[in-house]
Amino acid sequence: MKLEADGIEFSYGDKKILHSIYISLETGKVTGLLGRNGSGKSTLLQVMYGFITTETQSVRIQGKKLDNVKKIKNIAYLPQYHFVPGNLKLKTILNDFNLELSELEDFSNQKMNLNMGFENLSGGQKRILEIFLILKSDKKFIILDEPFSYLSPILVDKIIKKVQEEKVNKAILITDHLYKHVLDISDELYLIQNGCTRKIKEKEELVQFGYLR
Amino acid sequence: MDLITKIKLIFRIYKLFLPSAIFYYFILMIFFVPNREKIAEILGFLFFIKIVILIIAFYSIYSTKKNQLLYYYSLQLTKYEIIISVFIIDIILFYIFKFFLL
Repeated sequence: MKLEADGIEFSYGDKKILHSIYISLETGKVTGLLGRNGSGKSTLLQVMYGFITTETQSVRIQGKKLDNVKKIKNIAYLPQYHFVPGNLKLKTILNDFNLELSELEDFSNQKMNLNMGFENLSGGQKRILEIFLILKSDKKFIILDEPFSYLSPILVDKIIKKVQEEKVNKAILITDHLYKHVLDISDELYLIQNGCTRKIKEKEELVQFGYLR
Repeated sequence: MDLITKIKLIFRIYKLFLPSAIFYYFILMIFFVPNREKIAEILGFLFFIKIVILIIAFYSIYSTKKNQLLYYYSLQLTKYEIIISVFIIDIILFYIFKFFLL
């Protein structure tokens, strides 16, 4: 399955953040999105997910245009911030998503208490739980915004492994400032610069376009 | 997702909006309990105002809870299901308060 996004325009006041966008995700592939701080990566992801509405945009699955409701139905999205309500217990969260504690413990490499509230987990535990929920979601398109934040190298490796496993049946879009991990994990790569996306074929192009030195 | 799970989730979401409902229908009424006619008048007015506020400002109310709503989106609830359910529960609550207090 293929998801494509283009024709997206987004401005903050007079400043055009996004204007010449094309990005495509395909089942079986991890697509990386790189860009400097403030380049509009997260905005683009939120438009693709249907969280931000813009005047012009086209997000299609197999060529069929999606409205915001259909986007949310087809795409799972991990935002930069914590999205699980703090008052929920781990038991409730796993139950909501039909997931087992043993799977989570295996993924996070640590024992967890089912009666623990989300707000009582450490920053890293919160992040790993949220990544787990999104990656194990039954949706075919997954968007991950800075999944490696707050995490130790061992957990980053676990996520990379899980992404590789899950991509068999899913299309995954990932963006993070830890660009080496994004380069390692991605089958396709885009750079967002001055509101436009460019498809990157060689790492040298990242230097050429001023993302790396 | 089955209907019962959906209803449970919707009630959990409504809890996010509950403080505003309590504020409108309960706390303010305490100040006017001695005057029943006044309560009826105020209730009607508050209900009208609340609906108008909710319609006009739903997107700003909604954006303050947006991060938490994302959790429920991930569980396949749509924005429209959430908005409609919040309105329906709000109306039911209004009649419950009205029934007991008037």
